[in-house]
Amino acid sequence: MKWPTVVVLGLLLAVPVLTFASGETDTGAARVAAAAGPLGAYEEPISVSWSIQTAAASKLLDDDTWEDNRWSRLIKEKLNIDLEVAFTADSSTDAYRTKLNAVIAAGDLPDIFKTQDANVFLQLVQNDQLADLTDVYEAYATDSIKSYQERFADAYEGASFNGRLFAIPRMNDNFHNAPFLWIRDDWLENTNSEPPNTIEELVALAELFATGDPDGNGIDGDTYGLALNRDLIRQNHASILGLVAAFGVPGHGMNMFYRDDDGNMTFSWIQPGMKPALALLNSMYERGLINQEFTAKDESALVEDWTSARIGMAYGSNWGTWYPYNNVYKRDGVISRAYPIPTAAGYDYKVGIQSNRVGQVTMVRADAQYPEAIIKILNLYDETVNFSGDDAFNRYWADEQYRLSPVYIDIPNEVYQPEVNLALERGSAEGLPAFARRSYQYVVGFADGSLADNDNAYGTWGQQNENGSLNIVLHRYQPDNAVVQSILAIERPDAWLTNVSVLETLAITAFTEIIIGQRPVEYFDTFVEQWLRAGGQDTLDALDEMYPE
Amino acid sequence: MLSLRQRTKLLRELPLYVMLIPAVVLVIIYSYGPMAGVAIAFQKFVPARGFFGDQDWVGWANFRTLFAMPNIWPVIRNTVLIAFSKMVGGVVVPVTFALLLNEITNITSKRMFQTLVYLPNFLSWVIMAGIFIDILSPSQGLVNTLLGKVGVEPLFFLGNPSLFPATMVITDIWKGFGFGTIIYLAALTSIDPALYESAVIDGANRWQQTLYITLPGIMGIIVLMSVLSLANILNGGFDQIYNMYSPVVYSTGDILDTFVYRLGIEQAQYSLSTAAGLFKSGVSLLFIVASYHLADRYAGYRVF
Repeated sequence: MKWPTVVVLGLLLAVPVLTFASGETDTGAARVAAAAGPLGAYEEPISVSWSIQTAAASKLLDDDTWEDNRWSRLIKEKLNIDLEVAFTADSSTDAYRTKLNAVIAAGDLPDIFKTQDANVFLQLVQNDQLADLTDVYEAYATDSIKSYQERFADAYEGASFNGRLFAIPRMNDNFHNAPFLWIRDDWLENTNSEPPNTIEELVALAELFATGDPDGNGIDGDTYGLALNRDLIRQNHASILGLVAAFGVPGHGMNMFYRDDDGNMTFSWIQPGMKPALALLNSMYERGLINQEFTAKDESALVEDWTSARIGMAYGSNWGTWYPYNNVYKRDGVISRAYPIPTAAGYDYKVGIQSNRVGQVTMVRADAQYPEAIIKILNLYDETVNFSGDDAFNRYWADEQYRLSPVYIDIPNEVYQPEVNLALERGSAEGLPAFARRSYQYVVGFADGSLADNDNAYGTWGQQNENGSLNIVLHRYQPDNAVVQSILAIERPDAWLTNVSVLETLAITAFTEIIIGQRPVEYFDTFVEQWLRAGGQDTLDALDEMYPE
Repeated sequence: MLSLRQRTKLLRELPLYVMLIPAVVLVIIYSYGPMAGVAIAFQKFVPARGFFGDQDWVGWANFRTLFAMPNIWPVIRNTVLIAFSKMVGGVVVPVTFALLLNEITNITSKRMFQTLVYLPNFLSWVIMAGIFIDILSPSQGLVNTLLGKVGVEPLFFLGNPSLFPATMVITDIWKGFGFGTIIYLAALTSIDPALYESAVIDGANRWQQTLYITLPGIMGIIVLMSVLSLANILNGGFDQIYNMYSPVVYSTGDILDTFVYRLGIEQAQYSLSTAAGLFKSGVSLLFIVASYHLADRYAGYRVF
């Protein structure tokens, strides 16, 4: 269809709708009155549809369903909004993305929906599919929400286009997504070892784990030193991200584009530091320190091996005590901890994180009748979770219940960690803001055993105790200037979008083949050439223009 | 005006046509309708503009990009190699097994074997892959433990690029040969027992009977089944390979379907993956036409 036809058709359709709408509610002013301020209820019930991202971690408690649950009832009661579920799909697999893409192509978007995919957001904005939220945000967002905008300016920028706000970002801070080294407490104890500070110590410990009897079952050598999974370079548990970081390679999936010390645009997986890193991995593999069958194991296989005590050390992300190491804690009471990555002599270590401009965003479709509803729900979320006391927090946030709200934001732990640290030193939560007090209670409660059986307490403790993952970033990675942030925001060059799948395959295949000794380490140079030729160089050139220094 | 005879004929067949309607409707909705989607292969498709939206037409650009990708030719080679081996094995194994089973005179054990080998056919590859990953594991797997007993070093069937395609072919045949066996057994029952009797009188032994009576007797079915399977020349078996492969065996195990999946679904490159799918359909169409003529010529089998 040609544009004029669409416009004419659009006008024909719009005219009766507009007449009808104005006859019904008079003017926009009347509707604002009906919406009654940031937290007020609509006079007449309105209905809003949304899509639910289910995930392995999602839980429905009591008799809750996706359609009728604590959040839908709260939103109905407080705001007089009836939530309708447009569709549910698993976002930890490809299901949600596939479904959303189909819905987008069919032009059948729900009122409120989420994506983690910067490219989807960009395409929707560029094709006028999203509601401009700038004005309703100004009019309805509470001061508390607006204060987050200052702290998470980058995240808001990633949710904006030409200076207008088109989505609500989740407001998490990516600096916490650096790699760490995770080790089971009992294995360190059984082998009388200390956590490793250098790569040499790491290899020695892996050797001890692989040849000795760290699990105490009386059999030497039925365990492995270091876990890897087949995806290697993706940000999940048992990746190589932490190990290559020691050699100055800030890896993070296929996201890490940055300017090197000379200001040239470059990419993590073609750094020269990869060569010694791969050589080391290869020697560890040949000596049997790495699980020999890692090429056939995905992350869930690692979880099994970790829980059944065949593996006790792996590089991984900050949320380990939430998942997957909560499993072995629940089963055997074994605690796993995050440690700073061991470093290699002669290299400045670099940890890679994504740009704060990308992350989960929640959007409203362009022709939604009540675009302000998302802001009101956001206000209610913030009010309920962060300012309404423990009972409300436990009911509406804990145990992954926050996922049932159509829009949610992270508790900004990163921001309040210094205050939590001071409180831990003092031994008192006095003067802490509400959400920081919660972290404090969980950390202290887990440490003194009073909350030992609470999943949330173990999860929070792992991230926020004095030596937890957050403090590793604050007190080690940041002072060492080791954090490298990708420049890749929501705009990506075509050369990249077309070739990223092939380029990822190239990288994973080359690295796997070098690690298991199918090809010599020198093959890395061939890989770099191939990578640059297969679209990598075009991408670097395009990014150089797209994100000027 | 229809003659009386034509009218009676139509009246008699009318219920049959009515019964056909649901099937035709389904085929139109799910097979012919989506064919319009091949247009995507010639567009720079942006989902946000909608299927019927204002997409940019780019001609053959997607095909050029596709065939310029560094791993496309190995992928096509892998696909053909794996699919062809599966086709050959998928004829030889069930025929042999049906012949052997046919020699069993005890009806109960014959039925039992027939059912047992047919069972794996009903399990999905998601389940089968989990089982195979366990029993083929080099460290704890059943197969390697047995091989170890006779002094063979552990083999990493799913992690060694030179073993992976063969592993795919063998496991696939193992899973599917029960179905073929049933077809060939049915064909065997249609052979006139009088032929065997006269052969015995002429002094033919078992082997000669098989060679000169049984095989020629079911040759029509064998040719038909092989010729019809030609259309699968680019079907490497997505379910199976996707659940069992890993980057280390991409060099020999990555097939068109898995390649398209990673490209299309994981990266949302709909135009490129549609182009790849269209290419696959085109090649398959050629083979279907060829197989139709071959089936007509060698097995006298025609649809039209």
